[in-house]
Amino acid sequence: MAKYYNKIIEQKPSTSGFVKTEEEKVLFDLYKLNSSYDEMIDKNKQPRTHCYPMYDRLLKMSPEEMEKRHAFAHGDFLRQGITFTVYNDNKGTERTMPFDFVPKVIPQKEWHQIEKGLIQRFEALNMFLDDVYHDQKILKDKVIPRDLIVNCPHFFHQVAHIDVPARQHIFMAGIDLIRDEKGEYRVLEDNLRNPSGLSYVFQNRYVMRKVYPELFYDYSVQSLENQFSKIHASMSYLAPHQNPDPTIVLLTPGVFNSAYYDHSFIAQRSGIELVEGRDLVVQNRSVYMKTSRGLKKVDVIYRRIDDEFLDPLEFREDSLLGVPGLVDAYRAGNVSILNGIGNGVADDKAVYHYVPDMIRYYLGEEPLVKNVDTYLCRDEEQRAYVLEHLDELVVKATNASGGYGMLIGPHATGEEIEKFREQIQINPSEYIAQPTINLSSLPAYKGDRFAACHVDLRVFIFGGETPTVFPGGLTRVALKEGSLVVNSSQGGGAKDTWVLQDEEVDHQEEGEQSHA
Amino acid sequence: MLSRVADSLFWMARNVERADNNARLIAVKLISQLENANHQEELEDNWEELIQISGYQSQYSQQYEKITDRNVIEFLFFSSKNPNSVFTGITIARENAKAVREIIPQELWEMLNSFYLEIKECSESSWEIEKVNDYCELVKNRSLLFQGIVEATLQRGDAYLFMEMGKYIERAEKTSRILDVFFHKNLESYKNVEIVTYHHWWSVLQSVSGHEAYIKTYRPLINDQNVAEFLIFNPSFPRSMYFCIQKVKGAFEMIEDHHVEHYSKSLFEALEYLENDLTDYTIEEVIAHGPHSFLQSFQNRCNKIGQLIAKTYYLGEVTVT
Repeated sequence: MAKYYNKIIEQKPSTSGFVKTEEEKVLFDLYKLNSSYDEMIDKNKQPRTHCYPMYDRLLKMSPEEMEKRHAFAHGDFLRQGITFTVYNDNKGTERTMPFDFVPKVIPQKEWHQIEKGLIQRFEALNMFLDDVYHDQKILKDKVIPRDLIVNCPHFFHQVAHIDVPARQHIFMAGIDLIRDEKGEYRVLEDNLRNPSGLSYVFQNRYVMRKVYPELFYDYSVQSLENQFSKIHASMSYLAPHQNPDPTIVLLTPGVFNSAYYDHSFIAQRSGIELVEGRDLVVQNRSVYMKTSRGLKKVDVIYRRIDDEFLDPLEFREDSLLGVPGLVDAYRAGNVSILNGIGNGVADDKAVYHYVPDMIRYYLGEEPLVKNVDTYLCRDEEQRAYVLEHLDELVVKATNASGGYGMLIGPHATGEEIEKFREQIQINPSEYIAQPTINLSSLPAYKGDRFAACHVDLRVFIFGGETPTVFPGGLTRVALKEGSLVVNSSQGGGAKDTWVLQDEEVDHQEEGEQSHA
Repeated sequence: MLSRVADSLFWMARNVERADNNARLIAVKLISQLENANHQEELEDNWEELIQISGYQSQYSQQYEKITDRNVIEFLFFSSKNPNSVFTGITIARENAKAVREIIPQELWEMLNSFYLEIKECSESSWEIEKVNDYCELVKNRSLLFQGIVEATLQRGDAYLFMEMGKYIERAEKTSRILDVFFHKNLESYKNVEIVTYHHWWSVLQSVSGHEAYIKTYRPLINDQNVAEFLIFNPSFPRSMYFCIQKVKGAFEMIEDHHVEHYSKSLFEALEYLENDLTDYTIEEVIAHGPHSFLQSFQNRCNKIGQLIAKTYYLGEVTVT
């Protein structure tokens, strides 16, 4: 260890840009720490314990070498067609997700805390969904205001009193975590409808292994390889009538959907058929797919189409993506739909505020991973506070996602703030506000140096016999320096996420780091 | 297999084959342009033939006023407005592949995807006429690679068989179309009839890469009757019409497990019919009755079979009762 310390202490802040005789000094010289928590470099400009070997390897790579590999990795994504579609002026453009090769490394102990906290949350959310579509005890006990739920646009009376297999409404959740200025993990958002990004988790790993193999030498990273057998088992477990050998399909809006690659990858790796709405038909309250040899019964549908488009007979009549009669087949118990219909009521941005209460109410436990403080604009007192502090807060429209419909107070113009003020006053219940949290940062490669860029982490949790947390997740990074928006639609990129297997490299916990 | 998937596989293979054939034709024409460089009249004729083979003469005249090297090559190779251009074929094949990428081998998708990106780059940056031969060569090589990956990695099952059907029905139709256009041309008006005739039929053989196999069968005696016999009836040359139809029929029989059910009866009969035409007639009879009507009826039947395949396997729209 002493060796590393020496090297880093010798390294002095640069005064003359990156013209240096020792190349190893160059890349981190201009690395600026700000008020956020940096996950690799601590306040004394020293790498955190579990990052030593990584830091050391990074210093050994020459800028030319890095540039070459960076280009190779990009080409690899392009060749494999690992792209998402961005819509501008109704024209879709295929883009690769920008990839940054400095991984997020999570020591095993830290991961264990996250795992426990997210399973707790997953279970409470699931119980909430079952309750809210059945007896609504939590509303009767006034833990959550009734009008918030029944007025939520994602609360669907169409699916009330449907008993879903194993009472599991959530098959796959993508929970977004951030770290606050102290490094403490907090839940930013629960995605219980169609969280995307799982394929990128795998592709980031493949590219890392292929292009940057030596970064793995000092670490033993939890493998992703066996995860699909678990995912498949989880889908089968949720089949109707406990059918031991169900026919499972993934329902996609089609090849033009921005997450099509995700759909195709998951279908292929789980060994299930990828279908579009037009491939399915409902007869006698059962769902069939049209094959070259006639109709074949479908038992489980992992759908990646939003509720509103699933069935033109129940929801939007103009939907061409859905299957007429699907909800009726679901109601009859002849087909499972994953994630359940109506899950949006539990990941609503205002309902989010009550998730800690759900955990206390259903499980009698204290939340292990905290929420971010949230002000509900529907509440008069809280609204007054929000309107007073718009320039400090992040305001979010409850029905928007993907980084849209959002005001980041400290970065906004006066005009933008006034626009939000007006909208909040007109439709208070459609807005929530949170303190601006400086998301934690990690080094990202910028051609001639590393810059501290903000990151978050989407963790995937699966239901089934026992809930499973996918080891790692999708680390999203705001590649624009200083930006707090990590969404891929807004210029965000991705990083590989490593969950370490043993305690070797994280035996020393830094004082600065704290856990829930 | 999902009907939609079968449909995509059929058209993926069919469009790769189409792009390949078009590239071969362009390459052959380019060479013969060089060899006949002093006959302006013939240069135009040559290109006109190609546009005819593509079957989209009217689109051409809508888009361009004159027949020039650059216009014709743009139309046949790069134009996204020509539904039959090499670039369009590759674009469609790649879109089909994308829709079934979980079904086909990863290598096949990656190959088609990078192929598309390569050609797209050529067509977007201003392509150079001197390099057209290289572009054609690229398309031929990628098509061979495509077929190689399929042979080496794709499981023999419905996916493979639907691709076989797409590939061979396209190839059969194209060979017939090429022959038809070349027969159509009146060579008598040229001065050196003998030499022109030789070049003419030689380039037919070249455009289907059949010149070597032909010589092994007929010696270097090139005339219309022999060339036509070779390209229509030869049982072992993989681009002859007979060979291709055998392949389509073979794939059909495999899919149906050698039984004919009521839903597949009309397709079976249409294939039988076509096969009989190719076994019952001789080249002398074809020539005597006029090759044009024979080839035309062959192409019509190929179209019909394409439709019947769609109908039999619910490719495209289906109404379920």
